[in-house]
Formats: sequence, structure tokens, C-alpha cells
Amino acid sequence: MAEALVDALMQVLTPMSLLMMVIGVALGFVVGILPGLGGAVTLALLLPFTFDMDPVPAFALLLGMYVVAATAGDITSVLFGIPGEASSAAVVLDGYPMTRRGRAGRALGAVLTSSGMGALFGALVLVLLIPVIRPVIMNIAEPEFFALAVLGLTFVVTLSSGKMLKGALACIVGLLVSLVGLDPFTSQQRFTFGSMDLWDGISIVPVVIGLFGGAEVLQLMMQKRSVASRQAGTPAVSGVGAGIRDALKRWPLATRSGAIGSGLSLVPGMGGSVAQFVAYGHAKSVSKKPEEFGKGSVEGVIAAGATGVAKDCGSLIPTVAFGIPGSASSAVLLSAFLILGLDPGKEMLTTELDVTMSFVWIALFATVIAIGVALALVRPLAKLTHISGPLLVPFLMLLLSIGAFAENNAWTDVFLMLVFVAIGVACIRWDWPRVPLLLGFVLGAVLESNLFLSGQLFGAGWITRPVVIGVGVVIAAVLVMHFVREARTRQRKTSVKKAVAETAERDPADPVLTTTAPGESPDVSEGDKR
Amino acid sequence: MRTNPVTPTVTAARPRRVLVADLVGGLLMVGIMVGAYVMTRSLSPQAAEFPAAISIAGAALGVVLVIRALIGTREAPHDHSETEDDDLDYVFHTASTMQWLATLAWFIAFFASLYVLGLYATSMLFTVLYLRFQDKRSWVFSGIYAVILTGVLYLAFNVLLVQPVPAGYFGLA
Repeated sequence: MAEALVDALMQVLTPMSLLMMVIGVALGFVVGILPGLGGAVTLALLLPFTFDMDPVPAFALLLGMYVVAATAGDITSVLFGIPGEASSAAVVLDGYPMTRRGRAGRALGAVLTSSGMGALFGALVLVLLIPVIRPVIMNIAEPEFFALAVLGLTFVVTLSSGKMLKGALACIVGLLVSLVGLDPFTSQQRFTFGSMDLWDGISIVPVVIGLFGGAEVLQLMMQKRSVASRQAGTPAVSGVGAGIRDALKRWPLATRSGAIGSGLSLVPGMGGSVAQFVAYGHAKSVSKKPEEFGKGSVEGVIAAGATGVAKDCGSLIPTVAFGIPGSASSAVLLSAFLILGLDPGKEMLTTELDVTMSFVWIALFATVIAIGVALALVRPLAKLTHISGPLLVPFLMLLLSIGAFAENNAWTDVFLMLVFVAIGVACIRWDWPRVPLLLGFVLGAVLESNLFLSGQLFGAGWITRPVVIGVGVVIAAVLVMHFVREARTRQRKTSVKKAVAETAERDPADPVLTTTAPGESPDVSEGDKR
Repeated sequence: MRTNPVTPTVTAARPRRVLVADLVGGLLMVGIMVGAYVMTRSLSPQAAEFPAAISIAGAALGVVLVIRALIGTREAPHDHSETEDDDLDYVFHTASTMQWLATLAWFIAFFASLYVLGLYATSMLFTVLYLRFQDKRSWVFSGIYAVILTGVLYLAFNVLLVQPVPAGYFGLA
């Protein structure tokens, strides 16, 4: 193993491999920053260039691009609220509010550093798991996939920010949207309204871009000022070091999020979009300041950022070990294996182990180079958020439309994106959480197909499988923890209100001063305002 | 932490008020879920099972939301015009009808133009007009900005990435 690692390092450090990696990193930056240009599409476009290459330089180009796209996608999520990659959507939730508060530098510092920490963790997982993963994966079947998807849905309760009923409804709407298209088992049309364009279902890109990016662009058009708040008073470019320190100080959170990213991506079909929200939900459920999530919590940024590269490393494991791709991008990578004459499976773990180990070095080096470049560019990048809003509007409108169009080259996606812009704006206007809708959308197909197959393959007994029971216990623990926390918060608020009322009764003439933590309802003060 | 001036308004003393937005939202949800359920009736049992189950659950939750909205609350509505320490309140809560109309007009005009003229012509036209009339920039500045923006897009998508972009009705892009 150690010998293979050293061999792999030597192969990665050849001039050809390094050159390919630099090209891959540069392309990954462009692809990551431009919304809609997914890693899978670009990987497919790059495949023809690898026909005559040796395996290691070829993967230096492909993997270099692939892992950097995830990191670079976080940059637009933080700066403009438009996720460069679908798997960067969770970074928007706190990264963009930080930018609007004038803390773009700090948010970028935190997300880039946590992304690096996640990459390190993911690479470590790759090294450690590749030799032993086979029996583990063989024990995971449809019932376990279903249980994991339910675990993902459980985080709706923590992601709904005190609006659980609305969150659950939004999640169900997301589940219904995910069912649009042909039923996978009977090929019957469901919710397609007779449109053939919807037979393949709705892709995640127009949903993410519409729900999050569209609303932000409309906001900019209405308020006609820069993205970052002038009132915040803090220069956007400051705080990069603080962001890096935030991430380093919270290494356990970054590591746990990296573990969630790698772990869930091991499961084919779960994908990075789920992992980021599960990590985000986990961070919120264990945070001492959960009320800050969604308003610019650095913990939220770190948790979402750390899953970026870690999930890519995780999804490589089933691809390499079994030839089972964990995501669309790893399916394209799988075809690269075949083009380069490599046979995923036993061969990759024995005779070609050095090629497999080169993935570890490529993922690490590419991420380090990307983070170095991005940190060097933080100052000019963060300055973009102080450019006048109207100047950015044409650029962002074009990005929205290209982003929605690019994945399938279809106008239908642009129209769908507009529908989700309307839904996103309505959610903000009438205080409905948007994230549960997205989570329901991402998990809908996984839930349905695995529930059906569990019943077909294992009968009712699937529910007693050990991993299913284990995940069930985790789900119960998450729910109990959440409700206990909610009860405590309610109790605290009630006692604050009582204290205010008592003070007021004692001296009704004078207004009193009370303190409220950020995020707490300020309703006690609003009688005065009216 | 922040400090808020507080008057002796006691929450319990306020009359209950119906939450109109939640009531409308809840009714809309019940409508969507019932509609989804009705649509599943024309499917085979296997294809209908999962969507029917979640639409029934959604309808039930929608009814709960409607009931909660009708029972109402004694809490005062959140005053979005007060920015407090967080200026993250979206302008959607406070925007005037004119602001909404103007923004939506530009937004719709952009996508209508994109559909008819394609990406690059829309990029030029929208950028010049938007900057000239919404941002009060000069014609020269707006023109130069539009040319640079369109040029960068052309270079990125047509030359470097060779990626198709939205072509208009006349196939211009």
C-alpha cells in the first residue's frame, strides 16, 4: 500500500501530469464559477482529449477539473447567491447572508479552508477504505438506501428554522416535483401535463438556480444597491484570515461534515446534493447558536464547504472498486477508465493500485492549488460584491439563463427555472423555507425507487435489517434532540417575555431595555414601533 | 446581542388575529395536493402508490396549516420595514407596487427578448437599455459595458467551452 502511494506520487509529479493538472484546475475554476456547466458535462467534453494519454496524466486532467469545480462553485454561492454547481447550493444559505453583511472575505476564507480540510479527509478516506470497502458496500442494499434517504429527510425539521409545518409541506412539494416524468417501473407519465419535455423529469440545475439565484437577482433589481451591505461598515475584503481561522478552529465540524460527504457519496445515487444538506442540518442540530443558521453562520458555511471535495472522493470509491458510479460525474469518469484500458474492480485494487492511489494525490494537489489561487484572488473577488447592483444585473441575468439552459440545452429548463424563481420569491415573501423543498426534490426519486425495491426484494422483513435499525435509531436521536432544543428555546423566550411584562407593569411610563439574541423574535418591542 | 426599546405591551393582551397569508398558503397547498391525488387516480396502482401517499400526507398537513391560520396568533406581525441589526430582510416584504411592476417588467422583457433574439443580441440590448434607464448611466458607458460583457460571454461559451447557448426564435445565438 505504502509502496503504491509513493509510486503514485512519483507519477503525479511528472511534468506531463502536473501540466495536465494545472489545465484541469484552470478549467475547473471556469466550470465551477459558471452556473449550470456541471462537472459531468465538462468531463464528457474532455474525454476525447485523453484518448492517447497515459492513465495518470489523463486522470490529472479529468480529476483536477472535477474536484476544483466543486470548490470554485462555492465562490459564486458566497458572492452572488447563485450556486456554481448544484452541490454548492447549501453554501448559499449562510455564505450569501455573510456577504450581504459585508463579510464576503471571511465567508470565502472559511469555505475555501473547510473545502481543503474536507479534501484532506476525503483523500484519507479514499486511501483507507479502498482495500476494505468491498464487504461494506456489499451489505448495503435498497432498504439501507431508503433508510439513509429518510435520514436525509429528517433534517427538514432542523432546516425549517421554527417553521416545521411549512417546512414539511415544502418538502412534500419537492417530493412531488421529483416525481414529474415517466414512472421508472411502469413508464407511465406522472404530472407531465402531456408535455414530452417533462418525460425525463426535472433536472436539479433549474430548480437550484431558480429557487436561490433568481430570487437574489430580483432582490438586486429592486433595491438597486450592491450585494454587500454598505451599512455593515466592514470592508468586504477583510476577514479572510478570520475565515481561515474559523475553519481551522472548528476542525471537528469540518471533519464530521467531510465524513458525511464521503460517507453518503459512497452510496450510489445519494450524490453530493444530499450530502451537503445532511452535513448542514447536522451542523445546525449540534450548534450552540442554531438561530444564526440562514442569517450568516460561519458554521453553516464550514459544514457545507467541507462536503465539496470530500463527496467527490467518496463517490470515487464505488466507481473504482466495483465499477458502480456514485453520481453522474463518476459515471463519466467510469467511461474514462474504459477508454484508458482500465478495468474497475479487482484490478484497480491490485495491479493498478498505483493508478488508484494517484487519484488521492491528484485530488489533494488540485484542491491545494485551487484554494491557493482562490485565496490569492479573494480580494478582487470580494470587491465584486461592492459593485453597484444595477451594473451586475445584466451579467447575473445572463448567467441565470445560461445556467438553466446549459445542462440539457433545452428551453424547457429556462421556463422551469422561471417557475422556481417565482416559487423562491413567494417563499421569501411569505416566510416559507426553501431548503426543505430542495431536499424533498433531491431525495424523492431515491425514496420511491428504494422503497418499492425493498418491498419487492425483501418483503416486509427489510425493516428489521441491522443497518436499517441503526439508521432508524439515528433518526430518532436527531428528532428527539431537535424537539428538546425547541422546547428549551420556547421556555427561554417565554421567561424573557414574562420578565419584560413584569418590568412594564412596575413602571408602565418608561420604555425598558431588554436584550435579545440575534434571531429571536423581536415581537415584544413592536407594540412600541406602532 | 442587541438592545431593543420595549413598551409595556403584553402579548397576552392582544386579540388573536387570523394569519391571512398562511391561510391562503394552506388552502393553496390543499388544492395542489388534492389535484396531485386526483391525477394519480388515472395511474396504475404501482405508479400511483407513492405520489398518492405523499399527496394525502400533504393535504392533511395543509389542512392543519389552514386550521392554525384560522386560530391565529396573539403575536404582533414582524415589521419588515424596521431593519434592526440585520439588513438581510428581503426587499420583497416592503417593495411598493411600482417597484414590483418595474422589476417584473425588466425581468419579463429580458426573457422575452432571450426567447426571440437569442443570448448575444439580448445581452447587448438589455445591458444598454437597463444601464441607461435603470442606472442612469450614459449611452457611451452602457454601450461599452454591453460590448465587453457580450464579448466575454462569446469568448467563454463559443470559443473556449464550445457550449450551446440559448438561441432565439430566429436562431440568432
